[in-house]
Amino acid sequence: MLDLSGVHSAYGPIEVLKDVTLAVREGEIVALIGANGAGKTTTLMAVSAIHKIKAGEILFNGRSIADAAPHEIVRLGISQVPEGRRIFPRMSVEENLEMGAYARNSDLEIRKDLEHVFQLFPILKERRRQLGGTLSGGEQQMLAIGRALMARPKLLLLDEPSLGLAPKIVSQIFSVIKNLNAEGVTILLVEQNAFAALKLAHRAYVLETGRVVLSGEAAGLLTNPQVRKSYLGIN
Amino acid sequence: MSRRFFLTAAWLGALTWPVLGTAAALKLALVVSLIPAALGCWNALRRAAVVPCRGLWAALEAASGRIPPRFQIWGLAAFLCVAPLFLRHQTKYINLATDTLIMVLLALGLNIVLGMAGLFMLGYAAFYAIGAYAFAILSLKFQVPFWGGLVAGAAAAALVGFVVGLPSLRLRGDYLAIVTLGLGETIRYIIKNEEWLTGGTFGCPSRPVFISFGLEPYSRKIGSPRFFGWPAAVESIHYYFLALAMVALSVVAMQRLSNSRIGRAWVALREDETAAQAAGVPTVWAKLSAFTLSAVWAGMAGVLYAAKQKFLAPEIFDFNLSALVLSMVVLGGMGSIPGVVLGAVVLQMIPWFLRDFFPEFQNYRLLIYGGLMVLMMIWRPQGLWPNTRRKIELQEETDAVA
Repeated sequence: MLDLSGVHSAYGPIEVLKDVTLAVREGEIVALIGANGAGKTTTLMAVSAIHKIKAGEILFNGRSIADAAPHEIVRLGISQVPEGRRIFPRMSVEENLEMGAYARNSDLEIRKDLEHVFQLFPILKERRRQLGGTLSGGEQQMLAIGRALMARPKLLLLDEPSLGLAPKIVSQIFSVIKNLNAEGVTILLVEQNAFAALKLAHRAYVLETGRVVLSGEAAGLLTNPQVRKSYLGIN
Repeated sequence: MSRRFFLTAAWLGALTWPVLGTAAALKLALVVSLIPAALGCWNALRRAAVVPCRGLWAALEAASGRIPPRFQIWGLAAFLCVAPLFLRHQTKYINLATDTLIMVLLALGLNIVLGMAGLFMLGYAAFYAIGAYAFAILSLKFQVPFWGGLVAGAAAAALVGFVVGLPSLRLRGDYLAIVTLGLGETIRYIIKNEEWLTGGTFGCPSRPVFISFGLEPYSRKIGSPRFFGWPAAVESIHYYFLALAMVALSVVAMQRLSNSRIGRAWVALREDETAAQAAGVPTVWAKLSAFTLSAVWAGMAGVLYAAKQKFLAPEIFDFNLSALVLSMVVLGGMGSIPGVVLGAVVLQMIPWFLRDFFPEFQNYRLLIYGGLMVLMMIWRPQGLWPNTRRKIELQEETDAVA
């Protein structure tokens, strides 16, 4: 579904992605793990075309999307839940969700998806008139996921959904991710919390200073001694 | 506290004594040392006045609350329509009111980029100038009538807005402000230097050919000009009504714009550009449309100004004007339509008020502006009439649900 090959990306003179090759197949949950500064967020920003790549190829369903504009990517069916949630603080919950459906036209379909999001996160329905900025961190994360879902994505990019949240909320959000995947949404998940990510994902890639250094079945990586030492803190 | 002022006064007196001489230095020191006493009096006065003032304010609020908002608006509209008919021999007031309405148009236009889309623009006068000069040149050289000139002026400003916006909208925040500042100066210098087209520093007359609009200009047969049959000393009265109509239409248009799809996109852009991109908002297009639309309004205001004034001088369109319009939007409340209108009216009226009632303070106009802005930023940074629509809307909806 999504294929990155030889992707290079830089912020000014600083190379962040030096050669990233990875693939996400339809129906999968793929985790991208690695330390701070490894290039995880940059990879997602490259897929969303918010940060343009310098070299390499990004294919979505066989079609090159590296030159597309960010809003065209959303229209093609890839939406991102950005790191740090980035909801619109002075818009109400409902308006935030409607913004997610900006690229779509059918009001009826949008209403339906709104109800679906409210079903996934009932707390958002309770708070639908509240301004986004007044929500708690966990609720904001739910709102950010809900907003991305409003574009009705085929591929959902999640950037650090567990960041700064209580363990209980994290497990709630992870179970929603699992359910979404069961509904047919393909997921590319970036996580610091490698243990939780590997338990959730089917496959995973380990990123180190802009390169993929390890990849494979998530269950296999969980027992890999190198991963256990570097990312799970278990010997 | 008072000792500090006393010391300051002594120091200031000593410092200025060689320059000002004994008497003046002593006077200055005396004034400064009296500041604590004056402050004490002011505080006491304020404490004494606070209760009656609050009561008066509450009474006013209650009174205005009893009249439904729809009547308030219609009442205001009726007043604005009828009052000038009685003032029709007072050129001064009609001119003042028309100028104010033109400034309201300008401020509403700037509010699109600044208030709605959150893009900082410092050279707004450029678009105003382009509209004005486009109209003046077309009317002078090609006898284009007013309505055609209005469309052409707006289109010219929009075109420049679009062309300039295209490369510069990649910039964010301060950098965009600097580019637009440069644009403002560039346009002004072009106008000053291209004498064959704009008349340069000699200025440029305009010849508005008006399709009646109720006005019969001065002629031997009817004597003084007439407005819908009423004799009026001021020909410009119909510009007043034209400006009033344009402001009314603009307010409605702005209201609709801010609730529209593109309006939402602008809010998203203002709140978080990256998140807006991730949500699928075509940000380049959204910015460009804000830029262009805002230029359209400046262009229309410029046309109106050129037609009314009948003569354009390039000095009018300097940075001060851009800064003034910017202050109107900020003072009134960015993004709030009634706020922006109020801001424009207040700032446009201050110089006139000073000139007519306190002529001795007239030269301190800029100082008073500055002081006002500082005080506003300290006590009411959100503006005179901030954008509370959303908040009130949310409140009402929750009440309705509960």
